[in-house]
Amino acid sequence: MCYGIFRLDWLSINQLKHSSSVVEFIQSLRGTNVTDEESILVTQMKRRIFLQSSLASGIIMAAAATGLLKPGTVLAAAWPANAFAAKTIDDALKQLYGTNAVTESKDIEIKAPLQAENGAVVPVAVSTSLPKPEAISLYVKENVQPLAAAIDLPRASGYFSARVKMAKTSEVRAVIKSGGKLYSTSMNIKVTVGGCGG
Amino acid sequence: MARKMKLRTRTREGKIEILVLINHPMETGLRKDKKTKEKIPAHYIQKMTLHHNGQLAAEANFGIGVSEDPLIGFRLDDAKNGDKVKVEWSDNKGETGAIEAVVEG
Repeated sequence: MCYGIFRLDWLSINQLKHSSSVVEFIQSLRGTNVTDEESILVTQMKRRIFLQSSLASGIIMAAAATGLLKPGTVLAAAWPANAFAAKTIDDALKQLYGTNAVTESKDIEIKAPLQAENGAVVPVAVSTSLPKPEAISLYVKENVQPLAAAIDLPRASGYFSARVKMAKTSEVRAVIKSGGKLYSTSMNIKVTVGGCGG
Repeated sequence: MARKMKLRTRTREGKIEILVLINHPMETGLRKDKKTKEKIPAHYIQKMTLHHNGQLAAEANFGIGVSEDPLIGFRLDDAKNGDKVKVEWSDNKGETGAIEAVVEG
């Protein structure tokens, strides 16, 4: 019997919270009813699995072990903790994409103020004209954790905006993955200490 | 525990832009309470997904570098008025939220 390693999709966890039983959970994910035979299988599996960590993981394991759930339905990208913990942009890139080889590109535009009065709220918008953008990530070089956001774009266009925190005056870098390659551009944003508009 | 969320759609540069605002402290875990000198525990949004007519359009991971009360913008190439969009998020403490809206350019 093989459990495999399942990374929990947060959406599945959401559904799990609203499900009172394994059977209900599987039904909510599959969208089809569970047969009597399958529900007996689930009960047997539950007895055999030691629900050590939490009810949620127990239910997932039971569901996965019985083969009623294909890994694809449970699997989704986990939050990339290592990339966010990285202290440099290069490290974060390696953790996220497996490489830090980036090409400077003029096809990426960062829209942000040249000078920010309040480093706690700096509006940044990234857009690109690169074909088929797959992912965008945004970095503030001088922050303790440079990676601010990493976005996968299965269908959305190459655009992302957010307000980021900046510890001090720093380079802000946007990296776009397109056609399996990384492209990047950066700009310098001055942060006025004290935020009194000096 | 439901947090305030707002979702607004508008047309920008020929595309539909989705703007989401969430009331969330986005606590970094690095700040100290000035009186007690104790670290304030981290509490921030880690994941956000955007679904367009039921299909995953964008999946974002956030770190502590995103500001308090995040205002997040995505754009969709192929959206039109009347389409359904849904944004869901979860944070490092297991809190979640979701909001749905109909696209109005």
